[in-house]
Amino acid sequence: MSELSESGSYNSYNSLSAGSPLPLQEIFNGAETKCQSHYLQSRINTNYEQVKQQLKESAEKKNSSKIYSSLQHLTYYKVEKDLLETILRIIDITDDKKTLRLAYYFLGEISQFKHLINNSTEIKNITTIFNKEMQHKDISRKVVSLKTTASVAPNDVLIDANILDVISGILRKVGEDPDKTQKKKGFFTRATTDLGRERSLLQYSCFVACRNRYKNNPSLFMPIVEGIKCVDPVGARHAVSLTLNYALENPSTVAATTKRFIPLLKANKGKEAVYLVDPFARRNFIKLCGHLAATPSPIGNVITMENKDFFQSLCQSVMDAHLSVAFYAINVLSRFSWPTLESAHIDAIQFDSELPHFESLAFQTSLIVGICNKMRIGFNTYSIGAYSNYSMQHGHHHLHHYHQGGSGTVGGSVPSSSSSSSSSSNITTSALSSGSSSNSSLSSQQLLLVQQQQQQLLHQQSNPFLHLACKLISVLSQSYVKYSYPKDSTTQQPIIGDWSFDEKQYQHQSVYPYHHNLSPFTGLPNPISNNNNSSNNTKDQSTTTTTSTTSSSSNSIHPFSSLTQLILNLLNISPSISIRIQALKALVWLCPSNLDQSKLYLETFRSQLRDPYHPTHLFKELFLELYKRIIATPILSPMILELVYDWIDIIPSKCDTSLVCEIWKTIVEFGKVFANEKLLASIFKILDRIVHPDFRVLAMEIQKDIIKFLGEYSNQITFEQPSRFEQCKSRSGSNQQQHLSNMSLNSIIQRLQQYSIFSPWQIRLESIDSLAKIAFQSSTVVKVHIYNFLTLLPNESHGWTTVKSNTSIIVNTLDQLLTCRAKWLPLFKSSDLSQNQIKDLKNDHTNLCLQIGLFFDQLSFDYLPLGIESKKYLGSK
Amino acid sequence: MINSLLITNNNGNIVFSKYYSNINDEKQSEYEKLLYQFTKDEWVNSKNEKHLVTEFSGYITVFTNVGDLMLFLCGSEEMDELALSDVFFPIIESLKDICKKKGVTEQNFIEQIPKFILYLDEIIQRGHLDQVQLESIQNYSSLKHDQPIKKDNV
Repeated sequence: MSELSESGSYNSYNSLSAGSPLPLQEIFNGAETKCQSHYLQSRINTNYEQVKQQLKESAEKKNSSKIYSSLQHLTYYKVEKDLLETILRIIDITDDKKTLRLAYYFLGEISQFKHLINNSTEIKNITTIFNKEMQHKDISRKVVSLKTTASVAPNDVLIDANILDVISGILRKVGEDPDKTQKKKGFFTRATTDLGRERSLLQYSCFVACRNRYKNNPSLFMPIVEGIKCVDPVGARHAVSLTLNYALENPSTVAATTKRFIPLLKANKGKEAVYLVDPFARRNFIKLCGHLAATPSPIGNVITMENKDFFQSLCQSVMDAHLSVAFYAINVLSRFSWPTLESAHIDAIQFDSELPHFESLAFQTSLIVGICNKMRIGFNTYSIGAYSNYSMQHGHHHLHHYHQGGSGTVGGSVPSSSSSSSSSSNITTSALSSGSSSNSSLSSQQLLLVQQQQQQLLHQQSNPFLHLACKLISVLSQSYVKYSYPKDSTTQQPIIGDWSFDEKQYQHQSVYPYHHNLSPFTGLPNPISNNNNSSNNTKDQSTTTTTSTTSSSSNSIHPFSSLTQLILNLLNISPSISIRIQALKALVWLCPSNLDQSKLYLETFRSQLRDPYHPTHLFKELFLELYKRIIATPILSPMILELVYDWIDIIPSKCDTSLVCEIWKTIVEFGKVFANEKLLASIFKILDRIVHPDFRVLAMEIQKDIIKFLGEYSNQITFEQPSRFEQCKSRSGSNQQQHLSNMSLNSIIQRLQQYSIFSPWQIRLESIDSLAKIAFQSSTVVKVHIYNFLTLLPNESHGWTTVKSNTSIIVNTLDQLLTCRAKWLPLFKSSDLSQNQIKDLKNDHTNLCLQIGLFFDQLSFDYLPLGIESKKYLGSK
Repeated sequence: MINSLLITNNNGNIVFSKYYSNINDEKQSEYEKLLYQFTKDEWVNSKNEKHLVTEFSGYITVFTNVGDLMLFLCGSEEMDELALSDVFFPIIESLKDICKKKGVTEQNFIEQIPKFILYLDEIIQRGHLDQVQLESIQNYSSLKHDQPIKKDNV
């Protein structure tokens, strides 16, 4: 970042505290610095080589004060392997704890060069020092040595055996049955005495050492699993994590061994159910449960009784009092299929002093309801202002809107912390009750108060929570949408649906240019105009027939719809771009699979396009998500087409045309005539729109991309190519009609011809290229038409040389193509070809494919330049 | 796992960086570049230690402002936004603890880096979270493991 910051520009160089600074040249000329950053190097008065030398000398002379100061200076640098010997020597000779800790820190840093440690002296030194430290009476030296040596020591049989011996000695008592020792009551759980505390510390260091070195050692399996009960909360966390590593390899054994630890499982109550104090340990345990619950049983991919308990434990974890843990449980649950989630429930939870981290739950609740409640509580607590009306005219750019809130959708219990936020929100509401009707009537004092409250509210927002909550809502909604959307019974592809009904509805609501029905303040749909629209829509509904396929998806209520308002409100209260991106992505999947019901969402997305402060990547993320949505639910394509128009029209500078073309391509691949007609209409509308002079250059770039798209996909859009026509037939709902293709193709060709005469040379060049592509993929009639046009094309204006040379290549190729076609067609019709003729045919085919291939990124493998008739001969040997 | 911790001054100059994942210098600099681009405009909103989030290239980064410094903690896999936010607390506590005499200023922090790296080494080891209680962090970083924990902050 230092290299990027313009304002930074190393201006603090002169403020060095002491010593003579390195000349700038020396710092920046070297491509690399051993310091953590060039900037940091400019702020300190040492360099790596200097410090390294000093350390080596002081270690030789056993000068403890100099050793310590050199080690301190060395912390500013990334160390190398050549310091290993010096560091080992320092550990060997020093008794000073500060020096020792620094030396062990660097030993840990050198572990990244573990693979380079192959010198027998170094290995011997590491082993000797480790053995010596393990005999030391100071517990700290044992702990730090075990942790560090496990990571730095090279992979060597003797060293492995040595460290493993120590770990086994700590986790098992010598002379006892190794697998029974850890089960002895209190072995892991008692740490009230000094001895017990020491034991738990050593156990902790063993678990860290195992994470660094012995992740799946079979001989340590039992002690590690038992270690979940370790009284040291961090030790227990590491033990759970290690158990997960075992579970990745052998889930059934781990499931059988760890089932007794599941909290809230009736069979475990009062026995071995563990209370993991550390929230991160609980997160690890949830990850373990998630893995074991998702592991298919040997008899098939079904949830058995064994993994059912782990799945239920996940569901119960949604009620964890620690928000991070509860949301991690939701995150893990979101990976299960929708039917599994839909049928799951959270059992009632009574307060248990042994398991205080679970919130009480009076009755058994459906898992989805439980998740929604948890989300609402979180939103109440952390997205303050979601239920208040406020304005901030002179505040942050995103907060200049009046907020339309106050939904009555909130349910569930609200924690005490939320009451404070809601009370502050109420103050704001009352302060603005008059202001919301007329902002000009606000006095400066009121505005100041509002601004102060706004700032206060802003600080209460938890961005991490809102970010994660939106992501989870998006993932869960996606799972629901994909499952519930009707599929074609034979192909199992999402049905395309019938867009004609919805098209009429949309015509009532918004025409280009749009926004007549938007509130000028909020950017949200105007309730009055919406009511009018909905009444219009109702009338339409009565006169139009809805297809059965669309109605089935529209009738089902989105299980997370109650969260929609909360997320919509986020767009008004949160200035964070990341939060806005996640909120928009969630809204994409919260949108019902029904065009009529999606209008609110359409207008919300539209209003985002008008925000001048939104960066390009926000729109890319939004449209990428919309792109995914139309793949899952093609019925929403008309909505996306409208948004694409707005994207190009309102903010051409922030438009990603490659993404737009991908969206269009997806619609083309639906293979429906009405879809392609709608797409063409949308493309023509974009090409025909009046462009503001300021955007002329941008508009030309966009036009070029659109023309290129037309060149590549016109034949597919208009079903001109017979082979593709055959493919389209297999798609559900395809009702292609050959006669339509000519009309559509004609209109495309006419436009391209127009552009290739009357436009700037760049557009002319692209249009001619597109015409050529269309010609190469079309029937002979079209080929001849385009050939004639290109031969008569005037080339007089600026840039003519490029256009002319390009055109002449195309004309030549077309000429060859038509000549070959004329040569072979009578032969195809007459009789079977001789071997020599077939050979000639293949040569002609290959030559033409090579030439025509230059015009395409990737020419279709089944492309037949000489016509469909040549297919049977080209396949023969 | 935790991928990296970056500490910069308010101009974006890196004063401390620690990468736990095995990514080369080129990737590191690319990440830093993107991080700067994606977050710079929002630094102003991270005053008073407010945790903000950004996400790109599959990495989640939580960032905040403490004194004169900006802190960026990047994670992946199970380290989601809330987890990273929780990890920030012991880091910020440690930072304040080492700078308690002169306050969290750039100069003071640079002087205290030798102490800070030991604190950090107790909090994050090879990308895994370790100690989270300040008292444990203080004791362990000075090799005083035998000191009993005075209060339970868990």
